[in-house]
Amino acid sequence: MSEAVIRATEEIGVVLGTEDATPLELWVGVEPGKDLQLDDLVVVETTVSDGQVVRFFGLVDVVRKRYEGAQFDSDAFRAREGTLPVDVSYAAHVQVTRIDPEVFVPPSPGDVVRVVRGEDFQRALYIDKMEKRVPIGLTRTGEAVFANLEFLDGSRGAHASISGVSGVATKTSYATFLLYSMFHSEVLGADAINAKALIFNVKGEDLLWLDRPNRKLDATAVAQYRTLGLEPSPFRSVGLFAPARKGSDVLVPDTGSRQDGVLPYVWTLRELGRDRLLRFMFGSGEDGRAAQLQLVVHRVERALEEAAALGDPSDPAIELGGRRMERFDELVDYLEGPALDTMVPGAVASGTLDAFRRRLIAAAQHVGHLVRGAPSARDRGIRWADRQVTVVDIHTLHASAQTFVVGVLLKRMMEEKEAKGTSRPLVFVVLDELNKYAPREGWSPIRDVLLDIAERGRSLGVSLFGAQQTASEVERRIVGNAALKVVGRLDAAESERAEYGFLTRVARVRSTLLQPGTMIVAQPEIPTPVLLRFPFPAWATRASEVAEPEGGEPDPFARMGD
Amino acid sequence: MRPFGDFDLRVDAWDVEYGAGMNVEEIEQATGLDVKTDVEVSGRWHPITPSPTARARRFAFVDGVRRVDVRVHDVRAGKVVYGAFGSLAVGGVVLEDGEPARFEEPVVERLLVLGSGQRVPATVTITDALAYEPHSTDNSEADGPLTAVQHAMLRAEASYVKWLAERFDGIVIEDGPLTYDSPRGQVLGYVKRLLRFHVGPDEQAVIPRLAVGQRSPLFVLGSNAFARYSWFLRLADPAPGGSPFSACVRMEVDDSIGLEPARHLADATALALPALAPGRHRDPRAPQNLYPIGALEGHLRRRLGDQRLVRRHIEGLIARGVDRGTS
Repeated sequence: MSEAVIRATEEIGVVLGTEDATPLELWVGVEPGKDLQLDDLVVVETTVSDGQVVRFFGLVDVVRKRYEGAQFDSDAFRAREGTLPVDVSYAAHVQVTRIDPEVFVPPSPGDVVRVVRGEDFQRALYIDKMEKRVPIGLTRTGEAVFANLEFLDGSRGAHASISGVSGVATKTSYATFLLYSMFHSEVLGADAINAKALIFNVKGEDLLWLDRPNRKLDATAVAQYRTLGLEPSPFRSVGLFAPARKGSDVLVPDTGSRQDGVLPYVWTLRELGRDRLLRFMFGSGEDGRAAQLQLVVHRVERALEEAAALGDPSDPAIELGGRRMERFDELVDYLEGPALDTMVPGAVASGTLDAFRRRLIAAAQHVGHLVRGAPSARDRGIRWADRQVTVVDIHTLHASAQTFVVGVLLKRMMEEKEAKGTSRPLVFVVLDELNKYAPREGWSPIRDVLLDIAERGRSLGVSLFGAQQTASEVERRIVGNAALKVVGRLDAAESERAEYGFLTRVARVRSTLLQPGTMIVAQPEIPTPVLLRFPFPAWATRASEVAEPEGGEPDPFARMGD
Repeated sequence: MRPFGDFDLRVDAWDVEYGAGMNVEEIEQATGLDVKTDVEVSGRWHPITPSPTARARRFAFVDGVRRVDVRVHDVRAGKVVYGAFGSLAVGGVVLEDGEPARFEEPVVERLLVLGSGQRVPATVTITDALAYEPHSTDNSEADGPLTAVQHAMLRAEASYVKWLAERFDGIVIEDGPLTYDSPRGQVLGYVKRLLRFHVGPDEQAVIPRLAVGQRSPLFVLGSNAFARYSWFLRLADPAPGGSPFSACVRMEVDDSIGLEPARHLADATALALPALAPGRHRDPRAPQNLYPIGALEGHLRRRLGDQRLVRRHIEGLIARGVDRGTS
């Protein structure tokens, strides 16, 4: 790079000498009549004593103007009246991102500062050193910014953590965009064929339209995709799953805006037993009996496992204590009786057994319809490996049922991965509301599996794109393991927390002002967080956005939600 | 070759401004001039309220600052030559209705003055941005070089006024009284301290009676080739406990302009200048040191550079006694 000619554009100013100029940060005086704005990338060249030229690349993170020669605040009025002559000082603070070559001398006051664009922009952010580039957004000035895939696919790191206020921070949209970027650019190479994404839809039905083009996609957005090297389109290979509707023996997906192409999902009672899924129905043990309760759950699971091993393996129902069970309620009824006492050791207090029963009944109310033994339940599981992207809708479910679905799927996936023992195919998991599934304080049945993904997912090829309103409420190790740290709009108090230490002081303030579609992204190889915009989704996010397929049947739902 | 030729200049340890207690205006405000007080009003003087139609849209102010950076002397064979490294800057401010006030590009000069008619042979270059031109004064006193720097500044002011007056369509106000060299026309002298009234006690009595925005009648000061119309005007009310003559200034314009144009200018200044007078919290020389003048002085002083830094450079050069860029 040293030999590279800096195709810098115009001279924009000079390094100030009234503020310290250091190798890591400096102030620029902007020439009269020129503009330098936040997020501009600049380069300063300085010559050291042996004649070597050192280039400092950096991002503008503060710009300010002030009167010079004015003593009092009220001088502003005099200056405006035209009675007091003043000079205006226009200065910008630059956070240095790269020094080339790495000679850590300070630049000299008076050195010329230029704005960089294009290839030099990429150099300034070390993007030229990335072999596998994932487009992750555009700067406000329209430069493409990339992330290094090696930090997302497990080679050198994995996981993304996305934080921000609901509704404004566009966290899920950004996570979806990242997936699109990976699957629809060439970056995954040979891995692209088998790589999978598992997305949990926790709010609204935004994600049930990933396979449909968005008719609100305008020319500007198309141009943005192309700048990023992407061709806008819906996701190519999408599987959509929604929970089976409660109270209906016929399996229909419990969704509002879309049903065609959405598959209802349930588990069989046999799977419940065979895969030891009961534990995922039990919430936190806030009454201090957690350990005892877990023992009971463990014993019941073992009994169910034994039962599941008997009979026809393809039969959804199981037989327990001589009773054939086709419904979850039947299992609950059975365990309400003395059968439970025979399953657990005598040392367990009867109060604990009652606690177990209470919870089982509560769980049955919310999760029972997802575990069935009728013949129609056969092969109605979530086959997330069939398509490149699988959306699992859980937004209509009660919290305990959501926990069950997420926990079961992730645990299963980790077990399969472990059994294979390779890090391929890659799996990307998108899960919002991590603060609920892996809270920093308190226990959640799936916290362990999420922690497992965060800590071992790298070697197993599982990358978690977790989103949360507040990273400060999510298990520390999960946030800490994320290579890509992203924030959308943050609450002012939240932005001051230590979890956002990767943000500069200025970035913290800016995070409270971010508009939808704008994120601040920190990644391991770029020493400063970068403010990015990502293009409007090329796939629909609601029925009203669905573009009619060319020459196809008009979409019967196209007008819904208008 | 030595930077100072044959001179063996040494730093004079006295503080540079020591002995410089003279007041510039005292020097310039001559006495015993011819005075005619009946040119505008005959009989008893009274305060004049200017006509609102006299409002002027454009003013320019010209001022200069000067500084002795280092005093030096050459003591050989019992004969002392006093000298000084002096810096001066002259500039202007333009005020136009509805426009931000703006600085005109200033002129900066740096002089190495030697007294007793002596002079160093060539420019003394200390750094790229710091070079002193040879300059001489016949004065052999210790303060001679200081006076010479002062005079150099006045000359620079005069030529700056001339330069500005030629290209500026408005009223040019020069800091201090007019000099013989001042350009004729709409160039006004601005005398901040009333050390001499020039007029008699009867006329002086009108000054305390002036309200803000009023002026005295015109009078003629001087004669023949260098006669000018002059007037007093009030910028602000006197400070509590201040003299009733305070917060007033005297202005003048060359008489070749004619009585009516002079009255018009007098009215225009009486209308415009009080609005430019700063409060006392801002400037110890308030209200006479008008906003544009105060800002200009600050602007010019910055152009002179940091005095301690300049002094260190000069002392370093003298101390090393080495050749540095002499031609």
